[in-house]
Amino acid sequence: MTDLAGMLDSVIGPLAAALLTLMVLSYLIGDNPLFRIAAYLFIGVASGYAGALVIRSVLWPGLIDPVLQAGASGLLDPALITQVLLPGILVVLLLFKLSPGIGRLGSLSLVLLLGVAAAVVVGGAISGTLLPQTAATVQTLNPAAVAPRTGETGIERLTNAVIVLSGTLLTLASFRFTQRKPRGQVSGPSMGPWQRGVRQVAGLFIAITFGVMFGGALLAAVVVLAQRVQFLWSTVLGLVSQVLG
Amino acid sequence: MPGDVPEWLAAIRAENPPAAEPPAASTDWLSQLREADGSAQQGPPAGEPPTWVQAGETGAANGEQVPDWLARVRGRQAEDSETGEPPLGVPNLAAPPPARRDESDSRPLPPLELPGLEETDSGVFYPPESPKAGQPVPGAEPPGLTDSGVFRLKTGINISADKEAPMPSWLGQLEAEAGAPPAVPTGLPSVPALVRAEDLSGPQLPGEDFSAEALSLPEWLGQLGSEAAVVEPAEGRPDLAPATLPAWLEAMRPVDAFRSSVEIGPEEEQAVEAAGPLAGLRGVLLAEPVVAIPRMASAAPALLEVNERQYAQAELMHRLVEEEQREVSPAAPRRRHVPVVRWLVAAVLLAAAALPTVLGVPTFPLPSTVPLELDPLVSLVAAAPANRPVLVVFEFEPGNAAELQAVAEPMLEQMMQQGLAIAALSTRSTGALMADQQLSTLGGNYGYSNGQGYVNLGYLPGGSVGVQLWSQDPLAVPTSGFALPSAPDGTQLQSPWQVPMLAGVDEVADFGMVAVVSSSAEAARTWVEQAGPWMGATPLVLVMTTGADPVVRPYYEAQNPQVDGMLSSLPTALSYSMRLGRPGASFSLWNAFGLSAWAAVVFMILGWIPAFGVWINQQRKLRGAQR
Repeated sequence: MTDLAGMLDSVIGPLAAALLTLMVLSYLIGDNPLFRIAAYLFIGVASGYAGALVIRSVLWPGLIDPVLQAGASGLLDPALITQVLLPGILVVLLLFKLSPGIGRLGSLSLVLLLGVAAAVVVGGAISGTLLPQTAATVQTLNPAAVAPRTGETGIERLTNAVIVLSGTLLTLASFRFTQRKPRGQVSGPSMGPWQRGVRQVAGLFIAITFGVMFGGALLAAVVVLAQRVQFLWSTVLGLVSQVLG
Repeated sequence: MPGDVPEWLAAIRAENPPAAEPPAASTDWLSQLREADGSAQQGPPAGEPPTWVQAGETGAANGEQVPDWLARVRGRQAEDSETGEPPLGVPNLAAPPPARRDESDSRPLPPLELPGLEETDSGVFYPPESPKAGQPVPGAEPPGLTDSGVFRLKTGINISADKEAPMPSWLGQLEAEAGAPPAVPTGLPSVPALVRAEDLSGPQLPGEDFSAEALSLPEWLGQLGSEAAVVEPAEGRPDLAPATLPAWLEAMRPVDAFRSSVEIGPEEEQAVEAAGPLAGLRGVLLAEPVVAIPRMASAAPALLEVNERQYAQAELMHRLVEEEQREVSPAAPRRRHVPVVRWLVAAVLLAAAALPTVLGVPTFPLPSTVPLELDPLVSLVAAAPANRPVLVVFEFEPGNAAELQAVAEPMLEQMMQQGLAIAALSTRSTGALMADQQLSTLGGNYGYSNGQGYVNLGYLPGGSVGVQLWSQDPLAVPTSGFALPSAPDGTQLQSPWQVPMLAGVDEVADFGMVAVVSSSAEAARTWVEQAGPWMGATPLVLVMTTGADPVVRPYYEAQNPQVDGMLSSLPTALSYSMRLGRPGASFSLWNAFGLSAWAAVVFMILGWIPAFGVWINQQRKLRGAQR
């Protein structure tokens, strides 16, 4: 048994991982069955794992196990009704969405989910991002202030503050200040010189931002590629050592 | 040509200018006729059978069919018998019929008998009680086309039969041949409704029906010389419209069935009536062509006015219909494209990643500069209280594990070096797996094991809502944990909160530090927004993938930062590892990462050069088009 576990960890597991890696890399020659097998395998394993995880980590401890522990006599417990049975009813109603005929019964659960999620997300975005970041943009105009992270002050900080503020305002302006297209005009709306200037400068900021993000994503992908090649090489070395040794 | 009139009729018009006639008489001759005749009030009501039909139903039952015009004649006859007026619509045939023509001269004719009518020598049928000739006919029909299709020249007046008029020579010849005295009455020129074939050989009108003085005879008739009869001008002649066809009547005229001039061919050539009460008779006025044969529309269709836009739309519609009907030719098989460029790029990148790993060359110098955020992070981890566990949130999938595990590795190693207890959590289904893999791998180097040094809280469901609820009260949110350890007594733990190292944790602020290792900016922002307000003085650290770094950096570099530490990119992680003195995964990946990054930059430049050329070409074309 121990030998089998050791074989799984040292030989079979790395070998399967290496094969799957090569099957995914085979997409370089185009779409092929090997790539599809690997992709379907990943999707199936991920879905199965997620389902099992939800049942084990959410449904069983939060919905089924409390009912079983409470028994028939405990079903009338108000705490159990509000915390377990009522959510359970909502879960069952949500399952009705699978059928078009009775799908409307699940709308209540869906509305509750969407409403609560939207309220939480919007509230958090306003209090956690919008207001603090707006205040941070205004405060950076103080030339006497010292940046807590970078230590910048004086002209250097003021220059950075102007860049940050102008970039923020111009980007917002390029998205916000639009005008209705005249009737019958096929091309874009007519823009004045200052509007075109705002649009071009804002486009420059946006291009730099996306360029940085793309460069970062590229570097991350390069790291992954290097790690996979390193893994393949180590697997080959491990197999060779196992064979030779 | 429709509407043309013979020359002799035109001459009549010239002598009788239409100015002296009511203008509406040329088109509304029927209404004028009815006004003069009074038939509109005197005729039988619609839907009621005529008098003669009511009176002679017996004859009708025997198969005798009477035409409509004869019905009207009989109706008028019944009235005129009381008033002494001639019947309407009947040619002035009041005179007794002249001597019958010799039967030997005439060709055999099919028996033609009409009930209630008598036949004259000219073949005209008339009722026996017709008025005397020469008496004015009130309300006589104006010239024009009668209901039966006969073109009538002029009627409406009765010329006195007492007045002797010069007889044309041809008429005299006819009478001489017939051996009978010529017809005394001189009626108005008229065309009989039913004409025998032999009567068509000569003039159609008997000489006693018209006057040469009143009419300018046609050329063929004028050749007859001075024998033409002169009709006494009728006094009190009503103003009647000349014999013209209205335009609307011309439009209704059957193209083939109507003849502009009265010319009746031999009987053998005439068609047999196929419909109506005269069915089977030859030489009668054809009713079927008028009723059944298609003819010109009564009114010309209105011309459709089409503007350019409508024309264009019609053309487009026509084109669409044609395109719809056009058979789509089978697509030509695509040529198999060999992705040479893709293979070249892949080969170069794979070689760049493999060469340093396999051969150890080339090597790149280690980063000499230290990122600004590294020292604060090292200090922050070093300042974390040893008696409080550290929460590490693994918010990435296996696809990002290679980078994020390498980047987060030095931070986790520093925590383990300091002996900090680590609690792992994830809102992703596979996050707990990633956490278990890395913690178990790294923990082996520092004596960490599951339950001893680290614990995996497992999967946190609910997304943003779950994060907020868990931040408010971590113990209230059921997290079953992942690979929970056994208790010291050997029993299986049911909850991660039963692990002794989490004994003092009741809320998120009880953790010594919260580090979020995230592959997306959204997950990091969720923790900043939802958990930040509940963290108190507990520092928050973001370990980010390189692509999401610019998005979350404002949370770190703000004047009032919401993030206390930040770590991203492999070079920063390598610097971190060098600071710790333990080269980890970032160090082993450094050369492969450096060479692959160089290859990627070269490919970007090579791809940018032709793209720039294309852009220049487009700008030239655009300027040329503007000029």
